[in-house]
Amino acid sequence: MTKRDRTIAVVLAHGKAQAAVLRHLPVWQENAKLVVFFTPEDDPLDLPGCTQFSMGKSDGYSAHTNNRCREALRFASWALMDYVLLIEYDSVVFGPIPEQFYPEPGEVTAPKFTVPPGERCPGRSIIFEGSQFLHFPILFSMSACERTVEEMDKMSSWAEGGLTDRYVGYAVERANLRVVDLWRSGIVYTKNIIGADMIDEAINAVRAGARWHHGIKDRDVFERMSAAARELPSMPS
Amino acid sequence: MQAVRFLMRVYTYFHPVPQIDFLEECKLHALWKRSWMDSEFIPMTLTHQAAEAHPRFAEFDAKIRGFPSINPAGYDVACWHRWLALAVLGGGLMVDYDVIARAFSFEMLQFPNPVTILDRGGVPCAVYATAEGAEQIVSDILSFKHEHDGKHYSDMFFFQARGYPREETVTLPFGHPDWQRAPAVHFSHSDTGRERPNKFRSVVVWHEMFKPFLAERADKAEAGLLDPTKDVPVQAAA
Repeated sequence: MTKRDRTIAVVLAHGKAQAAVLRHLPVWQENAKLVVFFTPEDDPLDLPGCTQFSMGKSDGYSAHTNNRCREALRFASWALMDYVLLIEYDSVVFGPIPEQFYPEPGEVTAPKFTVPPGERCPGRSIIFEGSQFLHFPILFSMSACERTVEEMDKMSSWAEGGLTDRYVGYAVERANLRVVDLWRSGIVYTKNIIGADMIDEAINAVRAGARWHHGIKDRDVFERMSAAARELPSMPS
Repeated sequence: MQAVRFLMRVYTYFHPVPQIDFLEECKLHALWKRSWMDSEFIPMTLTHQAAEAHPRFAEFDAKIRGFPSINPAGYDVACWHRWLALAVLGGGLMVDYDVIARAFSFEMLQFPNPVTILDRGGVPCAVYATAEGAEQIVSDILSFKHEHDGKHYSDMFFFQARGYPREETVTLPFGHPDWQRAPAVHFSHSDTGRERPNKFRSVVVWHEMFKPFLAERADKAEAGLLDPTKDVPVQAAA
C-alpha cells in the first residue's frame, strides 16, 4: 500500500468554483485515494459520484468558513487513513507527493508564512493573533490533524476573522505542531491568485521543480502549468 | 468546584473486506465516531487483534468458519469475531459503525440482563453486554445448536435464534416511523438504499443526522452565542 493509498483529501470548495474543481479533481485523485468535498449548503457543487458534505452558508471570511474547515479536518481525522491533505479548490500538488515531504506523526507539511502577532488585516477591523499562517495544500499526519481539531474546538469560530489559511496556521501554532516548511524545498510556487500576468513566472517555477501550488483559479493558467509539470522528468505524463 | 463528567466507551469492529467499498466504510466510520463523541461516549474501533487475544480464539474461529455465507469472503467472519473482541475488552456497548448516535446516553444502558440486544428485530447491530455477558455470547456461540439451510448463516441468525432479551426503543432503523426520535439510528444497506436510493450512505447520514445540528450550531456561532471553550475535566469510567 502506498502513502497515497493511505491519504484522504478534504477539499474546501463551493458551487461557483465548479469548473476549477472539475479541472483539479484528477490531480487531487493522484495525491489521495479518498477525496471528499466540504461545501456551503447554499452553494454546493454538482458532482455526481463524489462525496460532498454541505454545511453552513457561503460567506467568505466568516465563522462559516472556519467551521467548515474544522469539520472537514475532524471528519478526515477519523476516516481510518494515515495522512490528511487539506485543499482549497484553487490549490494542487502536481504529480505524486514526494516521499520526503510526508510528515512524521505530529507534523504538518505546508508552505509556512511567519508574521508578527497583532498584525492588522488590511482593509478590515481584524487583528490576527497567530504568528504564522499556512498556504494550501496542507498535509497533516493523522495525529497532527487530531491535535489541530482539538485546538480549533477551543477557539472561537470567528478566529483570525474567518481567513482559513490564518485559522489553520494559528490552530497548528497553538497545538505546538512542527511544520515542515516547504519554502526551502524548491517545490512551492504559491500566490493568493496566480493571474495571467504571472503565468511566465509560474511556468518557470514549475520547470525549476515547483509542484505545490495555491491560487490557480483560471483554466488557462492551470492548463499551462500542468503542461509544464508533465514535462518534468519525474512526473507521469 | 468543577463538574466531572463520566464517559463510557462504545465499540465497533472494523475489518476491511476486499469486495466491500473500503472508502465508503471509512467515511461511515468517521461519521460514526463523530456521532458517538457528540453523545459523550468514547468511541473505540476494535480489530482482529483484539479478537485474536481471546483465549478461545482458535476454537471459536474453527467453529464459525464452518458456517456458510453468501457474503464476500471475510465479512461474516469479522461479524463473528467481534464478539470475541468485546469479551476481551470486558464487555460494553458494541455497535455497527452504521449505527449513528443522535442523543444517546449511558444512562439508557441500565438493563437487568447480562446481554441485551438494542434492536426490535433482534439484529445485533447494537448489543450491550456486561463482562460476564460478553463471555456468555462467546460460550453460547461455541455451544449453541446452530441450524441453517446450508447456504447462509450469520451472527444475526444466531442472536435471533438464541433469544437474548431485547430493548426495542433505543435503536431504530432508518426509515422507521419514529426514527427521528430514536437515541440511535441504524443506517443499514437495505434501509438506506430503500429510503434514499442511489446515494452514498455516508452522505445520507450527513444530511439526515449532522446537517441540521451543524446548521444550528453555525448560526449560534455566527451570532456570537456559542462559547467555544470546553474546560470541563473529563474522566473515563468504563
